[in-house]
Amino acid sequence: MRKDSEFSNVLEECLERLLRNGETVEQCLERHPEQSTELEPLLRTALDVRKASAIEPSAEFKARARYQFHLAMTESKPARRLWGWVFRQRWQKAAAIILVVLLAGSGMAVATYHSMPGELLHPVRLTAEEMWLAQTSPGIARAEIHRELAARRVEEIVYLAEREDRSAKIERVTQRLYYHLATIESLAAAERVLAMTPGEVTPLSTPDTAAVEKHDAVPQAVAGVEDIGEIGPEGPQGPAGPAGPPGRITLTGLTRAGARDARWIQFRATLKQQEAAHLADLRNLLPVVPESARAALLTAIAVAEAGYERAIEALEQAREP
Amino acid sequence: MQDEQNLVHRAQQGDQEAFAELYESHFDRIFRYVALRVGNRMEAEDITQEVFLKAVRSIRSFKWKGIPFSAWLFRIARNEVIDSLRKKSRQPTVPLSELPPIPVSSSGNPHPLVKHEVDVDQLRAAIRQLTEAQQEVISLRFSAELSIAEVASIMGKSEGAVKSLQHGGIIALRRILSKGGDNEKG
Repeated sequence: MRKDSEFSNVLEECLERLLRNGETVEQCLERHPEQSTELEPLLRTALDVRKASAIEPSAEFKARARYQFHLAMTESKPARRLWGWVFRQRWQKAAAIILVVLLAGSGMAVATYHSMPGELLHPVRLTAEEMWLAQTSPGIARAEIHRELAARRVEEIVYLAEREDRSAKIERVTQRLYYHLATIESLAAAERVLAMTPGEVTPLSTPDTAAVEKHDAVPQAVAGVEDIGEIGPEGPQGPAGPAGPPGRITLTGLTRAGARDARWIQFRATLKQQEAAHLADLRNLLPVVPESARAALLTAIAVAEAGYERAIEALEQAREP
Repeated sequence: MQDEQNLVHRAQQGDQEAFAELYESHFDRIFRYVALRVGNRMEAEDITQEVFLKAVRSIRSFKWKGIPFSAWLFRIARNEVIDSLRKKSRQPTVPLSELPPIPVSSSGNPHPLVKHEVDVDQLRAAIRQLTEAQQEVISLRFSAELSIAEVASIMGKSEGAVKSLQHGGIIALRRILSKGGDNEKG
């Protein structure tokens, strides 16, 4: 029994070295020559098990799960335990909301809008952002707000990096930037799920946005969809091809799907432009930023690059059939 | 550890960014663990999603007493897996082929398994022949990449007991795979 226990310890020591430190089986065996005959087959089996365990979640599932997770977080309002703390937190939020309302239209509202991290009015601005997001339903409208807020976060990083060593603040703003971009990715993934519902599979690759906006013809992108929306006074009509009658199709059903496509296409294009501009802005700072803030800035660049790329990729997949 | 403690504290106060960070750092490992245990991708996806939704709902109940947050999260996952396995214990087994194939090495050949005679499906099927406790240890240790101490904390066992289960599990796997190879030869 004792011998078994000793061998279990040796095996575990070798596994730790193999799995975590990247040692080879041969190196482990050299450390324990007296047990090498018994150890070797077990270590090789353990390595095979690890390879068989390399099961990665699909990108689509990750995006869908992330979206659900964000929704759950938004819906979950933690109850505070300490009443004093509750009062303080709620009071602060209420004060911020009152300030936002009172300041609307005044010069202070402008000051709040332009406030930067570390400034007195900045928490008010962040609260206003939360209110703004909370009042917007999930979808393209919320994605637009997150895009604007991501742009704002990059402005804040540039502001902080140009002034003094504020690496801790840059890191916090970078986390918010990540949050905005990850939410765009999640919203795009949810859009893909919506796009897969029957009657609304509309590939992004063949848009005819002008036609959608005019409502005078069915765009190619949605031709073939069974639901044609409301029927005009001239009577029922199928999806209108080039030879079809110019019937009145209002903005319901398929035209609404086409209009939604158009907005997402525009959104993706804008996000791509924003990505290029933001990465350039952040990279231009590298030569001038103090050494102490360099690491935080490099992290911000990496987060921005990965976040934008993932969001754009999710948008590109969003309306693919 | 200090960073994670800080993140958990912030998440408990409703900081969504902190919770999102915790989510990102644990998501893949939870999925791998669940997938290896249940052997079905779609079911693993549902369970993984449920684990994190439960975590959102109950994070305030987590108390930092030296037990890592990951152990708490894996306990939720383990309970979900156990519930799921109980529910389908009398149902037919789902083909393991739904899981992805074994990664291919740089040489272009699949990584060699035991004596080059078993493939990844065989290995996963072999894991399912172990005792529940051995499967648990093997999944937590090799797919979730947790330490012996973490596995012990999740399973409520001593580290010595977990090492022993790991030892017994690997020996049993070796035996099952060798037997399978012999059968194929014969």
